[in-house]
Amino acid sequence: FFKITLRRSPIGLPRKHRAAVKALGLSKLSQTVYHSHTPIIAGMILKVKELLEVKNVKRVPTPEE
Amino acid sequence: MFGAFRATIIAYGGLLWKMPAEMNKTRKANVRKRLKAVDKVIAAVAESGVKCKALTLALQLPKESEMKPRDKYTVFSKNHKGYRKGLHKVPKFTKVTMRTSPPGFTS
Repeated sequence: FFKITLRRSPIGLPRKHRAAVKALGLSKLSQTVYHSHTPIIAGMILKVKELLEVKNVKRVPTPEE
Repeated sequence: MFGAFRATIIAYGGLLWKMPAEMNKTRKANVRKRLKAVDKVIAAVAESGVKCKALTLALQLPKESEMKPRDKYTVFSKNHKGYRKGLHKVPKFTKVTMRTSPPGFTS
């Protein structure tokens, strides 16, 4: 799984970049989201690679803080 | 043009905004930090084993350790002397990837 965290804001960026951030499910800064390894998600990550922090994890944690 | 009128920026508008030609050490250090962060993101996507065109293109980009200082802190500009201008003059340069120059202007 990709563990994706939004580190920089998409304010001021082109519409498609903002759409990619929204499509990844990120609505706030420092928000973390998990996605499976697909080419679609990979393409979105690479579109806004300057804004994100990405890690590979084996399993998605349940809402355990 | 108009007699004794000197066409300076101040004469036109009244306010002057100055920008240095080169970045200072802190700004350059932050540029390097951001380049390394993007390298990490590309590496993470590559490590996941997914295949897509965006990834093949991203892997062709030079890494921060492979880039010359000239490529890290300046970009190609057709209108400037020397065909180079500071990276900090590019809008949103902190969130945009500009690592390569057009072919023929890379040296």
